[in-house]
Amino acid sequence: MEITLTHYLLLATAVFLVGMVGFVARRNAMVMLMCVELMLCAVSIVFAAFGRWHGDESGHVFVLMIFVVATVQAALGLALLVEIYRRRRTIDVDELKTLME
Amino acid sequence: MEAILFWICGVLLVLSAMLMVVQRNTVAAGMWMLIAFMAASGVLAALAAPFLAFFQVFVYAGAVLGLFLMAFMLVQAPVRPDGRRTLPMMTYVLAALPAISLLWSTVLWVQRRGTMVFEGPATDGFGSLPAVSRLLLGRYLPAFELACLIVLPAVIGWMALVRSDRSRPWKSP
Repeated sequence: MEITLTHYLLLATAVFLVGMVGFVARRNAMVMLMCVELMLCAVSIVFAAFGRWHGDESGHVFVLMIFVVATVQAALGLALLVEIYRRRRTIDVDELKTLME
Repeated sequence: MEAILFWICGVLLVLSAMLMVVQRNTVAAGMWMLIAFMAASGVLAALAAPFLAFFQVFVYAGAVLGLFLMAFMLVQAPVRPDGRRTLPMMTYVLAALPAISLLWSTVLWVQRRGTMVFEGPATDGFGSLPAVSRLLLGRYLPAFELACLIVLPAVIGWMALVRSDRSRPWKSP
């Protein structure tokens, strides 16, 4: 069976949904960050697929931009988490509600 | 060839992503994330994007996962066992809404457009390093510079966050 653009789009949707559900369902802030990375990964698959569809590498350039954002996001997010853990001894997002109410 | 790569890596990607989400052990979740990113690299290779596939391993499986493993070592916080989370039912409904709407819009779009077949195999050199870098340093040079501007505050922020200033009072949990 030939692989079409639809296959790639459905695959990316599935991965994005898994990441989204994980982000909502998990309370470990580190796993939530990993789920964000997963969602970004799904988006990069969509960009690459449409780049192939149009026969233009612009999509690949956008994926490179996503790589930059994902790396920066991981670096800053993890730095924040480590700092929060030093002060509060937890990374459970339900426990971290200083700003709530 | 493309079909084999797509099916193996695609199934592996979805499976390892699911296992990553349900994993209770954070380090095990990190290992499943590594497998998911490797599989995503295979999917990119199936899409005739060899440079991106290489970069995916380089950046995600190398840099990002290394960062995560470093953080796993520094943070060893227990997370409360399940069953003690008491959120109102409305929260779950609101959380499910974007997921359902995304799924629904994708299904609708696919139904409307039908199956979109690629026009023949990719041209020679498509997605290679020279082709991508010609665009990156040509048409998209401003975007490239802006990306560099994003990295700069990130580096400054990272240094400000993790500086070893022990004079601050430590707050007990």
